[in-house]
Amino acid sequence: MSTQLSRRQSFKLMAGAGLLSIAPISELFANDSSKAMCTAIVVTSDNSAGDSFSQFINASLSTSAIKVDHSHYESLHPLVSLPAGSLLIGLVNEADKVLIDSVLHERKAVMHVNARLGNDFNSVDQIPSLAEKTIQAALARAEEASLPGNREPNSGSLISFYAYL
Amino acid sequence: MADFNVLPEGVSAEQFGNAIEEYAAIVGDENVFVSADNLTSYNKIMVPADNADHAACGALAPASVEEVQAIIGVCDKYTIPVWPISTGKNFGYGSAAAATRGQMILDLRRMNKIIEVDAELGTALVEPGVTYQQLKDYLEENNIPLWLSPPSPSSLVSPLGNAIDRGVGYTPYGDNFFFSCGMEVVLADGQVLRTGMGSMPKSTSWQVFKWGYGPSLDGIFSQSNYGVVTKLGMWLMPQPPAFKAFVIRYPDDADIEKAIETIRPLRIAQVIPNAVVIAHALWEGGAEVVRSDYYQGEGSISDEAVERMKSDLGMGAWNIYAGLYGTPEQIELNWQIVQNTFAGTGAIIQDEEEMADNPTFDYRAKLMRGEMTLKEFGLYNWRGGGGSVWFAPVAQARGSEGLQQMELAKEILGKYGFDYVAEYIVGWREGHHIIDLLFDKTNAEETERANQCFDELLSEFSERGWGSYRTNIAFMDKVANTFGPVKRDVDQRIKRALDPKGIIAPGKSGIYI
Repeated sequence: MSTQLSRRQSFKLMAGAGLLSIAPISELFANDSSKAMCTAIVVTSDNSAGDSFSQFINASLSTSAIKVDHSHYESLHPLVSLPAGSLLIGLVNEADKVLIDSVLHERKAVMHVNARLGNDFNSVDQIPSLAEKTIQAALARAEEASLPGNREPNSGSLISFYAYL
Repeated sequence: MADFNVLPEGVSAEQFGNAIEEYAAIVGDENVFVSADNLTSYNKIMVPADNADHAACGALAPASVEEVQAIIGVCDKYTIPVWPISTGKNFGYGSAAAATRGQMILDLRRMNKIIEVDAELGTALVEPGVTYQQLKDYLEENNIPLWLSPPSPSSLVSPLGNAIDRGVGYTPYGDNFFFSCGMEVVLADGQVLRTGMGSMPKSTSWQVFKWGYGPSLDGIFSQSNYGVVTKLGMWLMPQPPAFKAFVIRYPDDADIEKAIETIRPLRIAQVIPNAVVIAHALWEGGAEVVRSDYYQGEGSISDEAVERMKSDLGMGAWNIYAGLYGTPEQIELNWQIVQNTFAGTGAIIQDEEEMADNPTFDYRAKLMRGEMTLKEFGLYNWRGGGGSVWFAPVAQARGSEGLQQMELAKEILGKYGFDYVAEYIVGWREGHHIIDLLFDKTNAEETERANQCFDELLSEFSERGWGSYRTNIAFMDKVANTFGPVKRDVDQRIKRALDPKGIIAPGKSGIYI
């Protein structure tokens, strides 16, 4: 069983009404990718903002999550073996972004940046909006959505993104 | 006719379309990339330049030398310039992008065979797409006790690509081009040259004797555009019986003079045999923490903020990472020499036992024994925004030069509001001063400022005789000019002789026909 995000379900999610079944990551990898309509996976850095982002999406759309950490090359390995057609939705820091970009390049996929935010971005109020806008952007295949208070210069940054494998 | 986003200079859409069909007949449709989506990854560059100036017309991914030869033939027919990359991870120097707009990226990552590893002679022969991680895995799976010497992006990087761009690692074999032995090169006329002993049929010494007979040619295929290197021989270091890593810390910026003066005789005498790193606090801390935790004001980070960070993280202004290699008896003897040499210089010396569980020491120690670590990518979190360009002037390994370079770099970086995130890598007799100019590439004004800052660094350092050992795709012409007109003329004459149509990587190292 895999978590598949159809357009209808996605719109329900954006309306706050979507609730899909839980998909263990091991089963997700075992899925026949050719049949996958759109397997959604949350990718985050190992930090509190990433945790909040992942928790919010999973509260509405139970899916699999991957944590990456640039200090540990092994943390990138799951990205290499994800089925073609998967949709990655993520919130990562700059260092992890560079490495995910590298993996996506190997898979002939592209990271689309949705928003950039200061490292102190971790507001309970802002995470839902960010997550929903990221999914919206993925569905519309759009980039750089404008968020209120988006980004603080010279404060490091977090990047919300989507990518289709 | 397909709608192409970027065309090679002087090539019509119709001609380009015909060429694409011929490329596809060589490598298959699935290995020819011309759509904007497929080319995005090749144009993700971190240096302060307009990405459009370096946009590719397409990318090709051959799987064999024969396919490279055939591609070069089509490039010659249509005069389409081709920019070879191995894995395209030349971070801080331009990643996978070409020096000029409209080149065809020759992506060699599918040529990823480890052709041979000789455990007794300590040699390897690899293709461009082989990564350090792949080679490391091969050595481990086959229980071959040889070490690699990767640069800091280790796992992702090609040993061939790093060596021919004259990159460095951190073991005693850290000068990766110096420890290469024998190349295979596809020339612009389609011929395949093997350098050194490799030109002789049945030779058994291609990977063990560099010089061959007559002029030694390997050097002209490094940092150049005279051919496409499709194989490289490497010397690998036998795993020593014992290894000891240590760090030596100095408290003040001006101590760089003492640090270099003290380390130099130990390097020349090979008491310390590896490529020593002298990391500034902002390089050390930059890989661990983010700038905004310590400073949120305008301009360069304040001295007070740097001092707070040093105190929090327990680091010096300068932090020397070095290793001892050999038998336990040799290491014990050399450890005494090191301790005695640094005693009384104001330094604090700490070894592996004292630094257990320190993440920064751990990643430095890993690099010095040829292991993979991506810890240094943390530098991209320091300022944020994804901009990074490496300024890399070389000087004598003399304290006075190190001090002068540091003061000049800090002055210029400060003028433009950037931080001095730097390290020195001390070779046998020289110091590579590596400055990571980190900036916010999503901010156009800051990107332009970073470009101007880099330009001034280059001008002021070269004015004082400090040339760059390597540079990024946006500044190759300017660096070439700093080495004078005769050098540039000779480079060009060789180019015209070997590649009269200028189809291989025009602009690489400032070399054109």
